[in-house]
Amino acid sequence: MKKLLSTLLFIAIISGCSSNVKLNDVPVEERSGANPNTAAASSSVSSLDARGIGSLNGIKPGPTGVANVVYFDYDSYTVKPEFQAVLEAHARFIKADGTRRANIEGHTDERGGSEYNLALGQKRAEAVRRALNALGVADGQMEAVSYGKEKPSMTGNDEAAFSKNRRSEITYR
Amino acid sequence: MSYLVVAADLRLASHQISDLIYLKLTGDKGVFSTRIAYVTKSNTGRYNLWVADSDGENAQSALASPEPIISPSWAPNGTQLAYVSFEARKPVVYVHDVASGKRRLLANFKGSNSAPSWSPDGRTVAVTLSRDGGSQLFLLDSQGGEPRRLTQSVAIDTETVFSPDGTAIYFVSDRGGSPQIYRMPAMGGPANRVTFTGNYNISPALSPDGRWMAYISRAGNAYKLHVMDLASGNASAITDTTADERPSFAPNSRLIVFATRQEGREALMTTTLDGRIKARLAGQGGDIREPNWGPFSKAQP
Repeated sequence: MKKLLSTLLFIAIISGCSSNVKLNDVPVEERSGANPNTAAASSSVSSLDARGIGSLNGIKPGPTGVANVVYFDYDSYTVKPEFQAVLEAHARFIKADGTRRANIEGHTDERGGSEYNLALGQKRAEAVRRALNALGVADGQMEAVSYGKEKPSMTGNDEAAFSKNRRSEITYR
Repeated sequence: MSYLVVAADLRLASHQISDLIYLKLTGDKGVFSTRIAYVTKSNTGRYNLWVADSDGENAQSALASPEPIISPSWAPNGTQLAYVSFEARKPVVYVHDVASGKRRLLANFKGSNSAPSWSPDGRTVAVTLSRDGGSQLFLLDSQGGEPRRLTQSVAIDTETVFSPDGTAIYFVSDRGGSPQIYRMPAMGGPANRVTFTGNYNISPALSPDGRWMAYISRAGNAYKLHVMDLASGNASAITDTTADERPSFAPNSRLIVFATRQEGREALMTTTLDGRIKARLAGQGGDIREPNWGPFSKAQP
């Protein structure tokens, strides 16, 4: 218990300069028995213990009754006007409570390489982040990340599936 | 030593690969004792990072995760493996000590962290970070710390690979409007374009002898492995599959391992540089992808 508390304190102290997303204690198995190493002692974020703190995997509810997905056209990173109302609802939700942290995940369809698609997904996440920023949301309350093509919401090799995978999702930690 | 082959007539081909290696490397270490890393995804959505012998046998799981793992990259000394894990619900770069199983965070900056690749002296790792917005290239000391930004474009810059002599970095950029492969000095400087055919060229890999670049080029809906003679710039498609990804050279520069799809399933293949001889790797069940060929073992005589 003491170790957990001191770890929590450590994380709390350095969380100001870290990524908004905590490395939760997900059930990742490390083979060959040994515990994960902590990085070289440095004040940069790379020194976070890989296991982080134990928590409930950190997903919190967003604004009730509001969709949390923005879809994109092929080869596009432009947020379409039809999603403006959704973004406004999320912006209000985030601004209502300064402790809220929005995690914006960008995704692509499954065509192409993993790393280039990761970068394309990042553009989609950042497009939504900029749109929320323009609605008055502070940078410190948002983080834009990408899953690239790794987590399609619909499997399939046709445009119906592709169009559901070109998206940004907004979740809360 | 055995190979799993797709069709009976590839059995002879596998032996030919062995013979070719033996002939070319008389007195030298072969690639039989080298290792490859790769990722599998089970039907239940479980991901594993494997370290196996170069024929796919003797696979040991280095990491099991409910979230994706991509881009394993061997350190030049063969004892460490960098990779990108999404277990924190964002892409983060780890460095894994293969023998002990211990790992440490290398890059967990705000936004996405990905595409690790090692300098030939093992002291530097290039990564793609979005901490400043977009996807840009940074250099990190292999022990971690503050990254140094290498590119300053408003485009996507990613998928770095160091030249074998460590003086240059090849990378993918869409600064010209579509993804192409460029080369720049490893310490920073102006980039020169390397690929000029087609409008989508990604995933560069360089042969350790400095002569060849393997990459993926899209034509229509087909993503195909190509090999370029760096001296002349001439390139050839060497596969008849259409969903090729992530080529990686064997340390003797004679073979390439890559991911592809065959009969609707993901598979890893090795091929000679002219594409004449190919073999499918034995592997784990489930979908298999993201191969990376490790170096010669320093421990060998």
